[in-house]
Amino acid sequence: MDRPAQHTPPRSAAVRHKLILLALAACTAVMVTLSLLPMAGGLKIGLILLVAVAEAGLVAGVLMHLIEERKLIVSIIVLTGIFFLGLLLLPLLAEADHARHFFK
Amino acid sequence: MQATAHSMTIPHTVEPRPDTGLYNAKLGVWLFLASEVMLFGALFSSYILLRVGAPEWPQRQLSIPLGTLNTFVLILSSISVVMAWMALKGRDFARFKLWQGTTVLLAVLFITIKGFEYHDKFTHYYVQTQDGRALTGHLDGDPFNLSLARLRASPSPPKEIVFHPDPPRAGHTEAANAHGEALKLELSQITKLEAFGPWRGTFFAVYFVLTGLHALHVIGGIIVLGYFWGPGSRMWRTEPERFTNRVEVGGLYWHFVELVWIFLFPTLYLL
Repeated sequence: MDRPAQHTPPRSAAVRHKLILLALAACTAVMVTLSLLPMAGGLKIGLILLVAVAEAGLVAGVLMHLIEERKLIVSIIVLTGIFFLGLLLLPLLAEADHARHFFK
Repeated sequence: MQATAHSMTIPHTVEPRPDTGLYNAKLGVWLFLASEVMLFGALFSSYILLRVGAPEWPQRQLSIPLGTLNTFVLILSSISVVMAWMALKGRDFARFKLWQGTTVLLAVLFITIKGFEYHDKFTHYYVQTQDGRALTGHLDGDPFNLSLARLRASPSPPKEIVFHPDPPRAGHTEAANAHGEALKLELSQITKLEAFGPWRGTFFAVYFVLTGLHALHVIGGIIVLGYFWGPGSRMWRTEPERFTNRVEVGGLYWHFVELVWIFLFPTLYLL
């Protein structure tokens, strides 16, 4: 019921985990490569954080089974995510003038 | 009143609760992880405030190869912890031992690499002299966390120190380094000498707080996952379903530890 991976055949699950391993390693490699490329600060930060979010999504969604998880848990995490984003946005809004300069 | 002996069992350790549809530990660990998200969220929020408000922010202060290696180590451990849980689902206890043991070893490897990184920072120095020179580099013999006050207070303070300046690097925010052979600096001429610890500016304070808290979580994970691998695995003989659930909950915590690192790595090493 709350353990969806139980129904996944072990062989296909192992293949899936190998693919996830490769995807996570690739995301890390992309982040490092992006950090070495000469590009505008804001674009670089945005791209690297985008890849980090994708990598985190793979871990949370697939390895932690969040994509197949019960509504209750998903609701808890979505609510937490909203508050987390609020926490990150607060200092950016508070320092909006500096932030504009920072992302140039 | 006569005391009666009766056994008490904790409900819903295996079977899901009818109202939540989950066994208790699973709901509990997710609530715990939600609180952990807010804990790290507050620290990331402080990081943003400090970084956006700073007139300049030091870059490339940390070893990207070591940080990348540690990221790969955690990725591998995240896969191995799932494999351990899947082995229990498949009733293969020997494979569980193998994968869970691998996870614990990878966690220990992560902490070891982090330890090398920390050691490198505490043996890396910033030196300022009376003639206005500001240098970064290493002292002869790589002493750990030396300071000018401690050096002067030693029973037989040296008259001079041998300093090996860093090669110049792009994006280095410290004052220009004199790259070349070892320098002999008179102790009386030195006005500042400090290792790259948390006191060495906002960046290093943030770095040590964030990675230190994360390292504590890794150590916590080593203890919990190690317990399930070792003495805690006895439960498999008596209550296999409950033990499998424990391993799943431990695995969820471990994934969270990796999730935090996924954001710490670019934030501190790459940006």
